[in-house]
Amino acid sequence: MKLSILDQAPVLSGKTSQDALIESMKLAQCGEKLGYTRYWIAEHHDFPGLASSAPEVMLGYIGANTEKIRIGAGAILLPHYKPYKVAETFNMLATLFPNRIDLGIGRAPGGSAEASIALSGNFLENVRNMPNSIKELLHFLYNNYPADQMFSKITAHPFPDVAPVPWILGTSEKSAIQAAEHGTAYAFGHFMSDRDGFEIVNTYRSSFRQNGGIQEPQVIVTISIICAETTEQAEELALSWFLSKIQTDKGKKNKGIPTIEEAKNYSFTSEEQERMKEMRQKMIIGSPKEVKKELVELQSAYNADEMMIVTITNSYESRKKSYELIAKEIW
Amino acid sequence: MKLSVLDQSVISKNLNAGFALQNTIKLAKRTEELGYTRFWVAEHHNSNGIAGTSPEVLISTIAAQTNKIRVGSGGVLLPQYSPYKIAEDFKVLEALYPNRMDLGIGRSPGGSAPTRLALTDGMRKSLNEFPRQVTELQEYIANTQSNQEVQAYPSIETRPEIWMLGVSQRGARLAAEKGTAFTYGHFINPISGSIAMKHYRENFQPSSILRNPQANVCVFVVCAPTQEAAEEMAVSQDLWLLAIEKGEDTFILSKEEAKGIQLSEEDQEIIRKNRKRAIIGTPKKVKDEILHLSEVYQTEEFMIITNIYDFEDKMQSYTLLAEAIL
Repeated sequence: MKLSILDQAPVLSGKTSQDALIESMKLAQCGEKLGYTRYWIAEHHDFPGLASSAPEVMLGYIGANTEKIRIGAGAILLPHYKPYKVAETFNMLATLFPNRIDLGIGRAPGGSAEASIALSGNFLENVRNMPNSIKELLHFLYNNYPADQMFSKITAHPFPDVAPVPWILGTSEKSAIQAAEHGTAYAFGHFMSDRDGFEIVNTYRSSFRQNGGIQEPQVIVTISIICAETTEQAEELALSWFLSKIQTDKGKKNKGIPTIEEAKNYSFTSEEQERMKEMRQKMIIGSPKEVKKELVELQSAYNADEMMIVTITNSYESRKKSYELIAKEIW
Repeated sequence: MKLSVLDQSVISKNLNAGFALQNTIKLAKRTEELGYTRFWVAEHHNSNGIAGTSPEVLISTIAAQTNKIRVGSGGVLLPQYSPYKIAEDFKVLEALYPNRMDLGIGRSPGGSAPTRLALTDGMRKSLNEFPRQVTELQEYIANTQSNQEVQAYPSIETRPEIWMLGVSQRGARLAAEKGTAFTYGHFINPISGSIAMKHYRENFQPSSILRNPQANVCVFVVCAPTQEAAEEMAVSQDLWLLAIEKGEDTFILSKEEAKGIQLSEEDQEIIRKNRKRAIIGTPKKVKDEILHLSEVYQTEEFMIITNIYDFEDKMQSYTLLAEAIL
């Protein structure tokens, strides 16, 4: 089974954003050594707890510190940006790091309403225009604007030998149809979706139309996993992650993932316990054996080409360990 | 005297963009060893001979492969972007490379009218918004924005320096008013720069990021062991500037190819005029002219741009210059 990494660059309790960003690079190096296929980094705005506000900048840094692992954005939140600029940026990355660049495209705001206004003004209007933006972006990436269109004389330099590979990311039927119609690969966020993912992924496969990019549909399913030597240890790590989510949901701008100690001492209300149960349904938490069993089941249920793993724990060591244990158990 | 580098990642004819970007990285490593202070990369769009379109990405890769030279943009063309996003980009950079980042900003539209429309996705953006954008950018960088609802993360201890790039009094006035550092582009406009620089120094208003005026001047240089060799190399740069002005292919031609090209009287006149933007010659000559410009502009830092064909010639030019001046 092919495995990949999605990194949200979490800021840990008592540590700085700088630590988080350096650990992102280390995680990519670690993933490369372990044999993971891809490393993607997320985009968040106005979030003190998640340090990566500019994946394109992080990729310039991570690419320079790794050799062969594919690297990408998971995702560039396209409604905030102009397709031409995104194409230039990723063409530059693909020129610097040939045949290694993935361009994940998302439509979420990635932060507060105020941050969206600061980034791009009328966010909802930009979301409405998303199908058109994707079309433009793909024309720039494939350099195939029809001659009668305004941008046909514009090229997104530097033009690489191998184009960055576009992926549409999503959690609903809408994104699956977009990916199918535009003929891009599709990454489904199982960890963020409350829909029937199997049906969504099937819709993508059955509606896929070749359109200047990949020949066949290609699916990644992204799942949140916390793996530790024992089930107990994994549960402890998960508890601190749940607490951090609960704090963020409350609109509290938390300054880092709480420690296990903090999480254990926290008294969860019954409502919060309900919320934890919900979150747990979308995650795999356990020992390597338990994780493997569930991961294999999910992969086959989705018929996914590849599983992408997002892991947030309260220390870099336990996060890294989780990826190591999974790699060892699966391969 | 301090020397710095401005590099546009120009593509020598018959080579490709990948090669140009790798040469940019190599140049940064070697000029760091030679003692250059800053290494800035530019932003140009839709020009087939220029690989440098996205300074924020290239800076990240260059800084990852160097240790102490300051790295920056020369410049980010702010009118096309959201100040908030640019603040985020440079805060990520400053977090990764503390005390090494320069955020140079320019007001230039960054290309032809269709290119600008592509950059703004069809929206016509007004250059008149530039002063407001600069203020917002400064506030997001310094975390002093009036709108406390939104902050640019990651939060960092150090700050990138902000440099206003200008080629006229207008740029100098804005830099002075906003309290940014100022780079004067002698390599674009060799006339009347001393007045702009004087205005900047006399009217500088301290800001939360910069207490005292700080300025440098950017100039084209081609330096070689002999005047003849320098002149020969500079022909590539002459023709490149001519092609830019005429909207033609912007690949850099080799000395041999450049020499064989027949020029009209008019083109020769343009080249003669453009030569005022450059210093071409032996180390002694280049040194003398830089010292002279240092008097004229009252600055101790020069940013050097050298757009010639052969990478080793270019490297030699930067090396001879460093040996003569530093």
